[in-house]
Amino acid sequence: MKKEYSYYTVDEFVIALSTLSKTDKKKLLLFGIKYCRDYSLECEGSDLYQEAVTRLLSGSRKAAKEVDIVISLFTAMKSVGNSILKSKSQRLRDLSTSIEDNEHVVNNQINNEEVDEDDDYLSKLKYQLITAHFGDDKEIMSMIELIGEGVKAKEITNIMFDGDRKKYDTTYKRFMRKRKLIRKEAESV
Amino acid sequence: MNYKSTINNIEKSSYDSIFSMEDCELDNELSSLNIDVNEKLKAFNTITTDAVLLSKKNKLKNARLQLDIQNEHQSNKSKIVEFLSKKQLDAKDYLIGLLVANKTTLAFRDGQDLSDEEAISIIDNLIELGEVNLDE
Repeated sequence: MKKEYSYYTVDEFVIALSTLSKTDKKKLLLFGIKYCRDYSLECEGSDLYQEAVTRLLSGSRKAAKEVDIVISLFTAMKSVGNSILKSKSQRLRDLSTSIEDNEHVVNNQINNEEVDEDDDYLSKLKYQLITAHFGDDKEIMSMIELIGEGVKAKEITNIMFDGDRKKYDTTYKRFMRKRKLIRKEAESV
Repeated sequence: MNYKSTINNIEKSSYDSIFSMEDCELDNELSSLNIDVNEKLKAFNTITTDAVLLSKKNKLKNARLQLDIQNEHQSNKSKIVEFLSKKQLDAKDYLIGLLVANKTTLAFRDGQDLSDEEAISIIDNLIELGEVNLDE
């Protein structure tokens, strides 16, 4: 059965915002920074937060009372980031489509099939953006593949490192560390 | 490859852990990214305050706009009453006159009794639609 939610009014949302702790803000800040770096977005993590808060306060997006306010803000920020990436992927897609099949652009109608197609295209772009930074590192590429398949850390440790957790941690750290540098590399290009 | 579920799993692995981190872990993670936490938190607070202020301003603006519309209607209604008393007509008679002059149809009535206030509101709507001009 579909769960019924009740939503904050704008005034109630303002009060909920004021309950955010310093730790909550750090979590949102860290997520914003990581998301922008992972997908090489030309904006700051705080920009995602600003747009998310603006959408929620304007009523164009609603936050459910049953969901922790930090999680509502996290999903709103993610949605903002996805919109930015979507418009980027749409531009790329239109460009390739117009070369391959002009007729498709003319008859481009929005329906569920296309929305699914858009989501798939966005996911593919995200995957390419992440893996582009590790193409030369076979170990990390294998790890990404396993994480992508939903394999848990313990199983990855067994499959890739014969149960050696230290080796797993080192590789995972390398994966995370390299992603931290993504923005710097992008900036220097 | 199912990119959608692959990305879901990668994002889950990358971001979900953030929301169960302790304060000191967050500080470590943020410093390792060369982030000045205090400066960024200050910016977060400013963003929040500004967004809330802007939303309050917009709310006030909308309320003022609604009030202006209401006042305009009220002032129109006063003009109608003044006009009708000058002509020594009641609002219903005036509407019947409009009906005869083909400036409105019976649809406004639906066979029900009409109060003066309702008749004035109908005249007000007709003025707004440009069908009636009291100055003519």
